[in-house]
This record gives sequence, structure tokens and C-alpha cells, in this order.
Amino acid sequence: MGRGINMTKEELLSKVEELSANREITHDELFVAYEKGQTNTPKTHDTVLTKKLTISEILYYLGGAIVFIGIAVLVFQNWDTLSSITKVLITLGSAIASYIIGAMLARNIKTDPVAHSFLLISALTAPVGLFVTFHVSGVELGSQVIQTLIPGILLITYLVSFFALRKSLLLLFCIIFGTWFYFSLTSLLLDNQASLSTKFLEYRSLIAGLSYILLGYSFSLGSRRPLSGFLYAFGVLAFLGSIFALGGWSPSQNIFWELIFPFIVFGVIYLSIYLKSKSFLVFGTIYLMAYVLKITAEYFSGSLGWPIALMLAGFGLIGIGYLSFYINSKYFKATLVSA
Amino acid sequence: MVNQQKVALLIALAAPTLLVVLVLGSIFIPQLFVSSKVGFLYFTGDDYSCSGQYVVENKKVAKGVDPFGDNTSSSYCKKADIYLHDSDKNESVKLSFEQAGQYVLDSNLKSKDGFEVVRGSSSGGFPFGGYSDNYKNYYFKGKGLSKKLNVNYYDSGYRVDYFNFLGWVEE
Repeated sequence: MGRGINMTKEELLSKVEELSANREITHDELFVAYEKGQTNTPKTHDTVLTKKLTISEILYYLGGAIVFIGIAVLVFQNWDTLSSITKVLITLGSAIASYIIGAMLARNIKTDPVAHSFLLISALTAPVGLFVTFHVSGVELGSQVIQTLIPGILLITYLVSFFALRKSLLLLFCIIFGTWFYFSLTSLLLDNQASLSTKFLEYRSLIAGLSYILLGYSFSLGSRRPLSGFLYAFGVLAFLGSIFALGGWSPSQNIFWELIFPFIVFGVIYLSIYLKSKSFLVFGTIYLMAYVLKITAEYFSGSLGWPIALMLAGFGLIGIGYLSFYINSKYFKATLVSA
Repeated sequence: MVNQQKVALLIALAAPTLLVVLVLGSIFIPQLFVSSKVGFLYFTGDDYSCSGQYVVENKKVAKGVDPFGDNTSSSYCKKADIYLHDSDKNESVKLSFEQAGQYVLDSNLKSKDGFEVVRGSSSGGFPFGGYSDNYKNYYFKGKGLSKKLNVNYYDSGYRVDYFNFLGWVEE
């Protein structure tokens, strides 16, 4: 709960009752403490992503996204008629203005939801603004250096912003820009290499997926819990997808990854229970089904014949589907009922 | 945040960082220990049809198709220059045909000390393994080393396509 207090809300209320019964605390003291908590602007208040969104908050976000679309369409439709300064002002200028407005509104808990929509506009428009700015400066946008510099600037900006404002939305964009920077930086480093193997893309995705899963776990019990769902979903998608791709296809398959894949998938399905993540269950099931189809097509269609191979694959899919349904009904729906 | 989550956060941030460090190491560490003293000759033209301008005959550079001849396909080739590339310094020096003729060449694609000049891969780019910028460059590759060549091109179109390797300079 608070710093240094290791009590549940029920325990705290029970303690207050006890203090009140012993006349060790007055009504006024309780009231002053409560009001003080309400009026102080806590350093880590983050009202939007930590609770279920209301209709008005959904509309704030939608409005922010529509503003971004409007800016992008305005610039691209009038690209030839707008002057360079105007292009930069509309894009980068909008991003900076939205950011400043969002940062100022974020200081007050009552305008926090509106602040989020402005921060969203800023985060969506900033990459466009930087691309436009570099373009009008005459810099070649296709250069790998620029492709790395832009996400690098965005990552640093939003990282500093997160530590200043402590918003989960900013942390989310830190992760997105950080991922973009990671892929661009590794591509830039390999620009000096003779071959950028497709396998390297898969290994990078594997590491990124693993990082997402671990980040999701590290946020799962704290105030950043709402980010865990997004991180788990994209993390397990990238993680399993990379390993699936690394397995390759006969005759140039990689036996190690092909053999280890089912163990990893069953591990992911098991973890869905431990982490209470439906994304793990859903994607684990889908990838297991894909694996059954792949192995059947690769190794059994030639020997057993295509129709028998299809029958085996079909029974396999039925079994996997039932396993997924069983886990979902026993561990996920049971959790909802008990909650 | 409990200890398990702190460890998870640490690994989540360390894993991609470690990958970047490993990539850096695989690129720069070989350069500290491996180098080649063998140079090579190449020529670049201003068109595809320049590819036949110079050939290696009897280990020497010889002229190929006359660029201003009657052959229609070669008439697009207006210029083709020969260069000597210093593998160690990664620099090219322009040579006249007569100067190039003084060098004894090994026209094998791989040099005697195990290096070769290759074009970058066309696939494996980000995202989704598509077109890679590496395809726009030639690389000096061998013994774990791989570095982009500073090759002289004419500033036109598909300039990397106008690169033509002649041979390794024999000492």
C-alpha cells in the first residue's frame, strides 16, 4: 500500500477501528489525513491505465488518435504545396505542443485522462515529425543511420519523460521506441557485414519476445500491471514465432529447434496457468496446432500418404483444442468465478 | 517489486543489450586480429554494358569490347575506369589501362590468403526479412572478418551493379 506500510486495506480499517475504540485517534485527524492524500499530487498517480477505461476516457484516446490521423493526412495530401517550415511546424511542432500540454495537464489528477490523450498525440506524431524534419533538411531518410537515430531520439525523450511524469502510457511508448531502436541499431551494426542472414532477424525477434515476456512479468504485480497483457501477448507471439521459424522447413530444417519447439510450447501453455495469461494459452495452442500441421506435412505426408497424414493432424488438433478448453475452463474461468 | 520480478526486469533489459554487445564483438574483434595485405583490381562503368570492357588474359588486364564500336549493346557504355584497391586501408586508387597492365593478377574469386569480394545479401532486412540495404554494397570477407568496401562508383542509378572484379594482385 503506502511506503513502509505492509497492511491490506481491511487490516488498516480494522486497526483504525481499534484506535478509535481506544480513543487514540479522532475523526478530525482521520479526515485531515484523507484530504491530504486527495489534494497532494502524488508523484506516481496514473489514473488512466491503472483502471478500467470509462466511455469518456475511451473517447479521449480515440480523439487523440483521430487528431494524429488528421495531421498525417493533412501533411501527405498537401506535401507539394506546403513549405518546409510549415511541414515541420505541423508535424514536429504539433508533437512538441501536444507533449507540453500533456505534461502540464498531467500535474493535476483531475485532468490526468485528458493529459493522456495529448501525450498519445505527441507519441504518435513525433516519429512523423522527425522524419519530416530530417527530410526537409536534405538528409537521406533511407540511410540506416537515420533509421537508428530517429528511434534513438524518441527513446531517450520518452524515457526521460517517463521518469519525470511516471505515466504508464509513456512507459509503453518507451518500450515501443526501444524495440524499434534495438532492431535498427542491430541492422546498422550489420550494415558492415556481407550478409544479413534471415536467421539473425529471427534471433533478434526471439530475444525481443523474451524481453517482452520478462518485462510483462516484472510489471505483473505492481502499478504497471495493465501493461503486462500487451507485453505477454506480443512477447509470446514473437518468442514462439521466432522459434517456429528457426525450425525451418525440410530439407533445410534445423533439427535442434524443431525438436525443442513442442517442449517450449507446452512450457508456454503451462506458464499460462502460473502467470494467468490467456495470451500464453491462446498463442501456445495456435502454435502447437501449426507445429502439428507442419510436422505432418514435412515428415508423414510422403510416407503415410496425404489423407492419413491429414487425419492424424486433425485428431492432433482436436486433442490440442480440448486441452486448451480444459485449461481455460479449469484455471481461467474458475479464477473469474472466485474473484 | 519482489526479487523475482527485479531479476526478470534485469534479464529483460540485459538480453537485448547483450545481443548488441555480441554483434559488436563479432564485427570489431576480428578486425583487431585479421587483416589482408592483398589488394585487388576492379573496374566500374556507367552502365551494365561496361562489364565487358576489361578482362583478365594471361594474368594481365586486357581490353574487352570496344565501347564505341558498332555493337549496339555496348554503345551505352561511355566510361569504365580501373582501380587498385588497398584491402588494408580500404581505399581505391584510379589507374590508367597501362598502369593496370603492370600488375600480375589472380582472377580466382578467392585470394590465396582466403579472402573474397562479395556482394551483400538481398534479404534478411528489417522488417520481416525483406530487402536489405547490404545488397547495395560489396564486402571484403574472409577468416571471420567482413567489412564494407569503399569502392568508387559513378554517381548514377544502380551503381553497385556496375562493379566488376578483375583479380587479386600477386606479389
